[in-house]
Amino acid sequence: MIRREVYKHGAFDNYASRVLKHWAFEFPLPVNGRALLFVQIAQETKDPIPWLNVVLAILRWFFHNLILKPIDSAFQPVLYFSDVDSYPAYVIHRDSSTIHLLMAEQTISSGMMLNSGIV
Amino acid sequence: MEDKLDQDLILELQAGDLDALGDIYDRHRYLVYRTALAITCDPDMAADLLQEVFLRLHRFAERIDPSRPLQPWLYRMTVNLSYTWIKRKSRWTRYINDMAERIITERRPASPHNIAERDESWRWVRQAILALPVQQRMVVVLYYINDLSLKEIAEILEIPVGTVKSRLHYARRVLKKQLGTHREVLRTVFYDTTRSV
Repeated sequence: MIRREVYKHGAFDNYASRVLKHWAFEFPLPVNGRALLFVQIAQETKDPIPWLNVVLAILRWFFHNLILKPIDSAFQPVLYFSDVDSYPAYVIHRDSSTIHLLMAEQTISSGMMLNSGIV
Repeated sequence: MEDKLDQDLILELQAGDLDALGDIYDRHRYLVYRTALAITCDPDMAADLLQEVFLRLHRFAERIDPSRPLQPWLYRMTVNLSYTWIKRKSRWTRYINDMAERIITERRPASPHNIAERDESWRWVRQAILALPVQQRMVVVLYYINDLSLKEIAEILEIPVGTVKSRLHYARRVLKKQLGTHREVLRTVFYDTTRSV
């Protein structure tokens, strides 16, 4: 791989390249890397744990997407708004949604209309 | 080994020949180790990454197209793993490691790693690299240390050439600030001592 079709490759770039290369070359390679690589490969082929991890990841995905998510979706319509319920209807919260504000002002029908998309 | 092309070695590896992997390791270990080292600035992590890259080469050998050059694949794997490992290393772990490193450095006997780390000139360089965000660091390492072209870097990182240029531009600014202050001192140390891989 040969480079340098670069525009504006100036003196600083040559200097930086030289400095960074020398810094990187100061560190010797790890010893016995090849032997260690073969040991790791031998362990990997014997060791069933990576496959076990894959199986567990698949099970987790199925549990999350096929069991937990449908249950969560099924309970969406009966969500309980405790902060609306815990105050008298005439207390209006600034941070409440438009629907809740309309309901709090005892114009429930307006709130229902808004909620159903009529308004 | 010298006569064999990467392409032949990959084909042999795909056929299950581990010696071919050993030969590929011997041929490209410098490239992988120094790229990982320069991105992570951590010799121990770079040594682990060197092993991990070649383990993955063995694991995914079937998926590699022997008709294409191997180096870009190695660069891509090294850069991606380095990025992931840096991000995974949490901040508090880094503080603890740095503290332990300082304590150990005082008592540790001199090894080539220690000498490289202790040398004040090298420390400036390391700090200059660490001052860069990881994504800019990757571009800097591929460009300045591995001598790759902007197009090659763009292909390895899977980003547009314009993005490579802009990252290099901003990184160059930081490097000028960081390395420029020591330029006169470093010039005397590094002048005309270029080595080849």
